[in-house]
Amino acid sequence: MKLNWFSPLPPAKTGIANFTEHLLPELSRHADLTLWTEQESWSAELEKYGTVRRYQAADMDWRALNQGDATVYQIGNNPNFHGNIWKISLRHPGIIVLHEVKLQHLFAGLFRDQWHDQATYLERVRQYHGQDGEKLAQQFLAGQLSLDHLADRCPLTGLALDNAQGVVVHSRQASLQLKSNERRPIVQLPLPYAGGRLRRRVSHLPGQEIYQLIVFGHLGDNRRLEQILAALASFPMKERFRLDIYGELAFKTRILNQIRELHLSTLVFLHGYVQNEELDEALASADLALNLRYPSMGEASDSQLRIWSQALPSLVSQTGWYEELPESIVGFVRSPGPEEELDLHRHWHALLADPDHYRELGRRGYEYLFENHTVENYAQQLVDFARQVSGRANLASKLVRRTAEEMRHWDTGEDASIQAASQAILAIV
Amino acid sequence: MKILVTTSQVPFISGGAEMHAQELVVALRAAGHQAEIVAIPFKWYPAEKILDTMLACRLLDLTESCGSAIDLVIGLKFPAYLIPHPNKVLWILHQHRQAYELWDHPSYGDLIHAPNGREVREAIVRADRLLIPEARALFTNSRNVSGRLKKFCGIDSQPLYHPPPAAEKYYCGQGGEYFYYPSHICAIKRQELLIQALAHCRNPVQVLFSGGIDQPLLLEKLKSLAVALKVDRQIRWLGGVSEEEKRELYSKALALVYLPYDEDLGYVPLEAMLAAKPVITCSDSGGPLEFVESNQTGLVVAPQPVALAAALDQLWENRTLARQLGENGRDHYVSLGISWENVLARLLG
Repeated sequence: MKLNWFSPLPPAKTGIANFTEHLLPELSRHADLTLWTEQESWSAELEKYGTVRRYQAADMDWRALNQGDATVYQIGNNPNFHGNIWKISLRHPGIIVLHEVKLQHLFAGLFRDQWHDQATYLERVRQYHGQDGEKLAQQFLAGQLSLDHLADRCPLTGLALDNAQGVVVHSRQASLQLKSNERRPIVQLPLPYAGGRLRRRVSHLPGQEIYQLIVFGHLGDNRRLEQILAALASFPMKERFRLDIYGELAFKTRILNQIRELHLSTLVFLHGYVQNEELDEALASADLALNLRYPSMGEASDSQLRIWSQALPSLVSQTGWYEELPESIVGFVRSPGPEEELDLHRHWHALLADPDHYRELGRRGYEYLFENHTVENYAQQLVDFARQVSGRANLASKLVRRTAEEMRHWDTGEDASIQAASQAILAIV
Repeated sequence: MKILVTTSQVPFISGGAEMHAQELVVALRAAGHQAEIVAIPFKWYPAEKILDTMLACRLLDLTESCGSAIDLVIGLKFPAYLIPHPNKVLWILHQHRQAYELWDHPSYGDLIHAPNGREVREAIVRADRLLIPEARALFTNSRNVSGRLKKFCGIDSQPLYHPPPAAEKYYCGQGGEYFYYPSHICAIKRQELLIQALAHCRNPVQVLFSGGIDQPLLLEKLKSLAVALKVDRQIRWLGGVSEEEKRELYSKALALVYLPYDEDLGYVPLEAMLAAKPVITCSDSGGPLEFVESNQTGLVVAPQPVALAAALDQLWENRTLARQLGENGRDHYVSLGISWENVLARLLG
């Protein structure tokens, strides 16, 4: 099978680039790959597994795409990485891999911020979420509603799937959510992991004084960093902890100010973006990862897989994909609200009192990772799915829609039956 | 019987397919039937329009007209051959070639360049596979078209040759001072190949081109090429000519040159045989190869300028050979028994 693969590629700073990098070796055993990118440079290692083709969305080589048997598009919330991938998908049907289900950050980023086209944005919101959704979007545009909360109520997932032949999601919740509205084939595959080797060494002898906490990734508001800092500042035994923060901060000045105002400068350390090797070393040396998300965008977490790969215990928000995880492999934190700080404190007390319990969480997380999140399973199931859905003709649905819309012109106004039939058809397709 | 001949036509473009339909109606009427052409306008871009037209064809009702039953529908071209009828015979000139043998052609592929081209292609193929067998009998106009139908759709059909228009009016005359290439100016007819070949000829070979201009920019490109290769004085561009003029040009030609890529059938070899003129064609020209046998009724060469130049020089230098090949061609045509009587017997049988 010849597979077209649209994705950000390493060294792009996105977990989806890492996802592609991890998957490629195994995927290339099942298909001949063409990797499509807008980037000017990419990791040379990728070329061992497929042909890398640069594209410009305005001048796409459709012939080359049509020579493939199927096309797979990675869709996430970063408009810089996924905007043009989405645009190509609207013209050339394929399989959409939804790395996040709530996609307002993508579409608001495109329509409002890049294209300055609020009218079309509101039209799209109305198309998928009705007049109520449109009103919320108007509030967002007026600065009266946060994007995170808009995403929660109006995820705009359907807009990403407009020309999809099939959909891949990585969580059961996403699968159930889509199946209630979506007639296209949907498959849920556990997010694969093939990252760094286990580096964790037995450490932390009895009587350990300092425990290393770690937060990493692309750190926006939904990562609860401000709440973590506040909880740390109010924790009675905060001096027993050090917090390492790796990754890019969406609001760096705000965080720096908060660290200073809370007098956490000797406890909290910002490392910025580091290479994977260095991050894995940091994870291997840490005692507890804080991988909170609220609101969740519906994504499964490549970060969580990386945490497990180092047998590192972790605390996660009890929401979205994380909510589906067994209690035996993560510690839950109820986000948002006052329980969030209470739960953080509870876990930190417990860690100090019984570190072995948390080490056991980490060890079980490691086992869980390699039982459930293998690239072998993912690659095979993805290719099987592609074979199954690649012949699906979305054009038929579009043709039916157009026919139904034409029929509306036949209505005399007195006879509503044609209108009703037309609307019934439009509701289905 | 009341018979409808269904075909599709690109408005303002008229060629062999249109003549085929017209001649069929003439033959049907001559045999005492009432016959009409139903021509569906065809636009192939944007690609999804093809599916619109397919659907439009499927929605048509040709079972009756003014209360009288239509006894038979003969479908000739995609997508008109999809029009349903309880008594339908297909005599396929070609399927939508862009979805089949031309799909991935580096020079002639078109649908593959559409963003949704693959999707449209798959829909066309599915429809053909499912709906062509609705017909009670399946014919094509050549072994080449039958071969494609079998290869891509797994459907068996019978080749059925027919006379070119005004077959009885072709004649052989004196002359022999030029090669004649009658055809629409379009890329797939490969007039460019002949111009390139002239640059390799050792003789001052003369060439006449006639035919409508499908692609004006291409004509300009060909003329510029001829100038660049310093062969422009060996070429005359006649543009569109009347049928009478065309027959006269046939009669006085040394030989016909016909170089299309994988043609469905091609009237030129048949007309040439009727005019007792040899044909130079290419080994990948498709339909013409069903009539042109190298060194018997013409010359078959590789689609390369040097090989073609050698064939041009050969006939230019050996007029006796050219005459003999032409006479062989006429004898061969007669031996094939191509006639409208035969066609109607098969279609209506």
